[in-house]
Amino acid sequence: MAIISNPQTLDLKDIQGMVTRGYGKLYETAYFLLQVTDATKAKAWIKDIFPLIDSGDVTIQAEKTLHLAFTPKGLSAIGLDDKNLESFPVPFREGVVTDDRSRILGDYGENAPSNWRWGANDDTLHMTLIFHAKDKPALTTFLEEERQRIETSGGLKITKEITAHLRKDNKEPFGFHDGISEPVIQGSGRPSPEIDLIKTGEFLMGYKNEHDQYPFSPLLEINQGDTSLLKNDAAGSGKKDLGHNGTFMVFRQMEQFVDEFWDFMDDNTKNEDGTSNEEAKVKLAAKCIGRWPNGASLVKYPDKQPEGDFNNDDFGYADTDPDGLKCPFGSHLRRNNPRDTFRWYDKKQSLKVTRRHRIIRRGRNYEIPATNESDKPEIGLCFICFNTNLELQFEFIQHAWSNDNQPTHLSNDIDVIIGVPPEGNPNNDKGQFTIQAEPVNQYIDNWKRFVAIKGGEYFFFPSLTVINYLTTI
Amino acid sequence: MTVQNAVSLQIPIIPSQVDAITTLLNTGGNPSKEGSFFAFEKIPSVHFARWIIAPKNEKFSASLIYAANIDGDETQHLKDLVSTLSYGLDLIFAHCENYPAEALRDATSRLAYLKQHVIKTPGFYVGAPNRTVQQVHKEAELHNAVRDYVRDNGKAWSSRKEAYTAIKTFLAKDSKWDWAREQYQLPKKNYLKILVLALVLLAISPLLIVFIILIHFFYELQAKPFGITQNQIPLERLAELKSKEDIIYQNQLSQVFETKGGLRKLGLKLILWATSYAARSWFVEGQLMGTPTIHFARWVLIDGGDRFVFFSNFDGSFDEYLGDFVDNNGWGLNAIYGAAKGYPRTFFMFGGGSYKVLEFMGWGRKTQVPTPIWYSAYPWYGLQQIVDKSKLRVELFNSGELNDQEIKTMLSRI
Repeated sequence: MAIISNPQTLDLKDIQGMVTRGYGKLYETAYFLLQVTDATKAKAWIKDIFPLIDSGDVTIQAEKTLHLAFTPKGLSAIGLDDKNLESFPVPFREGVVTDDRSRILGDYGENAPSNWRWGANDDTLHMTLIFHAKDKPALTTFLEEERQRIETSGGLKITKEITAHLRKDNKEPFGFHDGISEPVIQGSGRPSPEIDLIKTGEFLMGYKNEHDQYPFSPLLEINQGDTSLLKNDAAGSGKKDLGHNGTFMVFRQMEQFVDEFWDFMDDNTKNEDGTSNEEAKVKLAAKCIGRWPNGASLVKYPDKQPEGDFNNDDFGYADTDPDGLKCPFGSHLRRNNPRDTFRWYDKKQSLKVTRRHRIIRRGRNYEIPATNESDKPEIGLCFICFNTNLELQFEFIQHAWSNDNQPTHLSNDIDVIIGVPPEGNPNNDKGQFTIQAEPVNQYIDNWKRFVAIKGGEYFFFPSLTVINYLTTI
Repeated sequence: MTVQNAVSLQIPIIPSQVDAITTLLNTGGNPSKEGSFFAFEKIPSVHFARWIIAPKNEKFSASLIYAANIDGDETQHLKDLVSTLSYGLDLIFAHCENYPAEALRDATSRLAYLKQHVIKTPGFYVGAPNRTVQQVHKEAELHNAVRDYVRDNGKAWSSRKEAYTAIKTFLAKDSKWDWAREQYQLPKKNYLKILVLALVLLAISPLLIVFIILIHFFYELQAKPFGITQNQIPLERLAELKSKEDIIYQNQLSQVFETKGGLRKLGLKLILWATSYAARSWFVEGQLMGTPTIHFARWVLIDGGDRFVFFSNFDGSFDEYLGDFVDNNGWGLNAIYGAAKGYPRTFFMFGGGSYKVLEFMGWGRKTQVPTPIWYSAYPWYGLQQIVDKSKLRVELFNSGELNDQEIKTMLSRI
C-alpha cells in the first residue's frame, strides 16, 4: 500500500470546515447548545455569524472558527416546513434516542438516556454552535464575544456550554494517540493511504458513495425561501437539494473512567509477588486498543512500544497478522475498522465492506472540574463523527462491530472500550477479552466498562450555501 | 443423523376475526418467553418458529401462516403440537375457518386440521445442518468448559501439542462428555450433486438465455422504478416493526410478496428449487452464497402461488442483514425477488434490483409484516459460533490424532 494522490474536485469553500479539517492547531473547543425563541431574530443572528463559519478551504487559516449544526426541532424552529423536514432521513428525524436505537447502540443501564445531561430529544435543543480557538485565553474572549452577540441579537437562548480541548500530543483521556484512522474524502485534495481514501458520498450528500449510488439526501418538497440558492438533486429527481455538500453529525459525550481503566490493566498484569508490572500493564492496554499509547501500530510493533510519536494508518491485517497474534481480533482498532480482514471474506471483499462503514471522527477531550474537594473531576471525550447514512455508518459500527459479542473467532467478547453487551444476555457476566496467542489464547474475564454515555444527539451539518439558504426561509 | 426440516402451514382466518387474532398473537411473545400461551420451549425439537398474519389483499382474505424449523419430520412435529400445545392451538384456531367446534376437538381432529393446512416449503436453507437443538446447547457447554480449562492452565503449556494432549486428557476423564464421543460427522459439500446441477444448467442454458431475454423485454422494461427508501415508510409502521427487533442476538424477518404472473412465476419456482438443492448439497458449512449469519431461511408460495413469503432467522440487525446480502450476493436476491411485484427494477434478472441498496431496504420494509410470535431455542448464539463449536467437538472427539496445523486451527476456536 502507499500514499496516493487525491486531486481536489470538491468546492471546499462550500463545505463546513470540520468535515475535512481536524483543526490540529486550534486546540481549544466549545459547544453552545442553543434554543431558538424567535425565528426571525435567530435567522438574523445566523447571517451575522456567517462570515465566522469556517469552510474546508485550507488557503484560509483562521485563528478562531465557528461551525453550526441543527436538530430537526431547530430546523422547524427557524421555519422549515414540516413537509420539507419529513424529507430528512428517519434516524435524524427521530433522534438518537428511540427504544430500538437505544437497544442497537447499547444506551441502557449506565448509558441510559434518562441519565444524560443533555440531548435525548430535548425539546429545547435546536442548534449546536461549535467553537475552535488556538488557546484558552483566545477561546475565553471568543466565547464572551459570541455570548454578547447572542444576547444583543435576541431570539436565542444558550441552554448549555461544554468546553473541550485537543491535547498537544493528540492523546485521548486513556492516554492513547487518537484520531489516526481517519478516512479521507475523495476529491478533498488531501493525499491519503489507499485504505483510507473513501468515496465522497459516504461523507457528503450530493455525490456517489461506496455503493456507487447517491446517498439519501433531504430534498425540498415545498418551495420556501430563496430556492435559487440551492443545487438540484444530483440523483436527478428535479428537486432542490438541502443536503448537497452537507452531512450528518453524531455528537455523544462519553465519560471515561481513566483510573479504573488503568487499575484494571494493572490488576490483570501483576507480578507473582503482587507488585505492578508497568510494561505488561501498558502492553495489555495496547492490546485492548490495538495501538501503543504513542500511536504505533501493533501490527508493525507487536512486542514493545517503539520510541517516538506515530500516526501511521497505512496497514492491513490480512498479510501481516491473519491470526490476531499481534493485534487481537477483539481490539478496539481491529473491530471498528476491520480493514482487509473479515473472517469470511477475502481481502478484496473485506476492503469493500469496510469502506462502506467508515466515519470521520472529530472527538475532543473534556474535563469537568470536581465540585468539591472529595470528588474527582469528570474526564471524557466529546465524540463527534460525520457520515451521510447514520444507520449504515455510525450505528452499524457501534452495533455490528463494537457491541456484537460474537464477531470473527470470538465467543463472548465486546469492544472493551466502547462496546456494550446486549441487554438480557445471560452470558454477560462471563464477558471476556481474548488475546490470541501461541500455543493457546489468553482470556481476561470479569471485564468492566470504562466508558459511559452522558449526552448526545444527531445533527444536520449543512453546507455553507444551505446555512445561508436557511436564513431566507 | 438428525436432519432439520421445515413445516409450513397456511390457515384462512375468519374475516371478522382478524383484529381478535392479531390481539391474541401479540400476547404470544417476540421473542417468545417461558410462560407464553404458545410455549414453544415445551417442544424440544423446535429450533425457530413463528406465527404471522398474511394481510388481506384485493384477491385474498387474511390468513395465518405458521413456520417451524424442527429436528425430525413434519408429521411428528404436528403430533407434538397437538399433544403439547393444544391449548394454544385452540385459542388461535378459534379465529380460523372450519376449525372443529369445541365439543369435536380432540387429538385426532386437531391433527387432521393441521395436516389439512400444510403447505410445501419449496425454498429452504439451514445454516448449521444436521444439528439438533440439544446438540447446539451441549456443544456450547463443551466449548465453555474447554475455555475455562485453557484459561486456568494455559500458562503451563509450551507447545500446541502439549495443550492438545492436556485438553484431551481433561475431557477423557469425564463421563459428562460421553455424548460427544458418539459417532458424528459434519455435513460436507456434495461435489457430485453440484456437478449434476451445473451440467443441467449448462444443458438448458440456451433456454435460460432466451428466458432471461423474455423476462427483460416483457417484465423489466415494463417495471416502474420503486423509488422508495426506508425514509418514506411511515414512521409509525417502522417503529412497530423495529419494536420487535434487536432484542436477542438473533432477529426475524417476515415478508409477504405478490407474485408476478406467467414466466416470472415459473422462474421463481425454478430458482427456489435450485436454491434448495444448492443449500442441501453445497451451502452446508454455515454460509449461503457468502452470507454467514443465517440460521434458517425459507421461501413459501401461499394463496396457490399468487403470493409468496420469505422468513429468515439471522444474526445482526435488519440493516446489517440486508446490507450483507447486497454486499455478497445481490444477484441472487434479484433472481428470486424479481418475481415479486414492486421490487426495484432488475436488469436481465441478476443486475440492478438490490444493488440500489437504499431502495432495496425501503422495499424490504415495505413488504415486511410484523412477527407477533417468534421463538428461538438458543437466543444468544450466533450461527458462526454454533458452527465453530461443532467443529471443536468433532476435532476433539470424533477425529483421529490431529496434526500440528489441525491443532492450531482447533485451538483458535477456543
